[in-house]
Amino acid sequence: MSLIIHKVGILDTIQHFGMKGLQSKGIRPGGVMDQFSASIANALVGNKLNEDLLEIHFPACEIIFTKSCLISIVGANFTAKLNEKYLPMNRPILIPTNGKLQFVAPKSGRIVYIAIQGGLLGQGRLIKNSDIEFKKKPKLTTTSLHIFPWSADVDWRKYSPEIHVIQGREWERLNEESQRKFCCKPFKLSHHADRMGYRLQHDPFHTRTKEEIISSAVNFGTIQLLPSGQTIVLMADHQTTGGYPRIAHVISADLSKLAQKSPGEDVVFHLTDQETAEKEWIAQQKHIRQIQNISQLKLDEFFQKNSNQL
Amino acid sequence: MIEENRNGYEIYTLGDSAITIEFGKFINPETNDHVIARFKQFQENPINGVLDLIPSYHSLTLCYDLSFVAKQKMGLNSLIDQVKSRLEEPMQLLPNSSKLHEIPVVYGGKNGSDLIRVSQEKGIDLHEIIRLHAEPTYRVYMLGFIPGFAYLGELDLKLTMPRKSSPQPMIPGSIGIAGLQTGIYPSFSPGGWNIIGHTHYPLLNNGLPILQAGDLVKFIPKNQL
Repeated sequence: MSLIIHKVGILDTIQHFGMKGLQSKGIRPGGVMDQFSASIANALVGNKLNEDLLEIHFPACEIIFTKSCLISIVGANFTAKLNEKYLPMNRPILIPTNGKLQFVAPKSGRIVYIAIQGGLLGQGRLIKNSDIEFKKKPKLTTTSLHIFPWSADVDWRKYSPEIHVIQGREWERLNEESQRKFCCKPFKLSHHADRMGYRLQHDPFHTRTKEEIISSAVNFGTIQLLPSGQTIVLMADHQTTGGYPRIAHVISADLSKLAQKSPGEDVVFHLTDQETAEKEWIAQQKHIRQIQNISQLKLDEFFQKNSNQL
Repeated sequence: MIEENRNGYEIYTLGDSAITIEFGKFINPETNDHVIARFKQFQENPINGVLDLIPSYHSLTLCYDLSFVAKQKMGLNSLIDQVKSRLEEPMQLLPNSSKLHEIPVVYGGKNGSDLIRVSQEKGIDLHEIIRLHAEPTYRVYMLGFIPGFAYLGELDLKLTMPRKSSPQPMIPGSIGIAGLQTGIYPSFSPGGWNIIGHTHYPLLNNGLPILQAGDLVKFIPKNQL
């Protein structure tokens, strides 16, 4: 026993980074919605970037740590508190035994990640009173809360309504007016938004043809045009194939930004190309790796000074 | 968006982390044989950086590691060049080892609630709809959408219906039609197909699909209307 789900939230899971290789059987890859925040959460506690971690929506679960451990909180700001004391985000935090973690008010974003040094055992939905084991014995334990003096830069090109997209196979089906509206006009994110997809609110788009298409593969970020003229962006738990026209695809580097948008928030699509998408992705991965390298150095230094008990 | 025309196939991008090879424009067994043969080829002899393969009726999608591909000198073009040279290799069509599944169906009623609407919109009476749907021996063209959803073809042209304008909640065993396709929902999910019947035939075994691409399916009507 290492941590207990004292109270359940609306949608909390132990999440992996996508299970690849089974889509030919119709089994979706799933995985974290916001890979950027999840990777940084792992980097801050010295984990490999794709270690399993907690993915939490609001209203969030309450967690009691029955063992001391090193954690980080990255992503949405839901106002984290430990035993009534406010916790900062984007920092390593040593949690004392019997620490009770709560999220009391959503301030920004939609999904928060909690990484635990060494990772967690198990997968899937968190249920009430479930005991979750740490994968590894904590390197350092404490009897009182310790907040580390460094934090990660997560503001990196994060807050803006702009989402970059690449044209999809069926882009040309949109008539000229709809193509113009699709790019550059702000749309609001609808309340119909979950791990499978985010719907957008706009006047219906019109197509040159109503011809049915033959079902084939879709991707995380694929924007499908529904027969009603509405659109949906497929998210982490998307189906493997679909038969609605694929008018565009959100670039990988902007998926994390989109995942953190709440219903009612604006989204503006901008067309870009493969080359730019590749550059943006490489830049984002470089930023994450820099944070990982610095975190590791700082943590090593700290562990050398304080051998196993703080 | 990248388009390549050569030897009858086209390659297009599916976002920045996948490419799709389209082998034909229509649903037919020859094109699907082609897809399955190339799927096996890429599965047995994987290309570096390719993480997942998604075969469909007429296309094969390769999902790749964007970090790996973006670091290549030519980016995605390096991967596309490799794919194109693989497609030059002769393919081995597989011996036919398909299994026939006889699937009992209760048409219409509570769990086939779109049957009457299909009949009205098509101007075909209910018995004729059932006869047209149950007559062919269908081929499992692909698995996809959700675990174990088998896409079957080819539906009689007279039964062609558009998808619903918005997805609806489906129950396991729901049999739907859309375009020239028919299929069975194996689990609870949203779906946009027109539901004309229901079956209790097992579709999943420990979460893995029972029907396989290339298998045959015959629907056996079980009720009197």
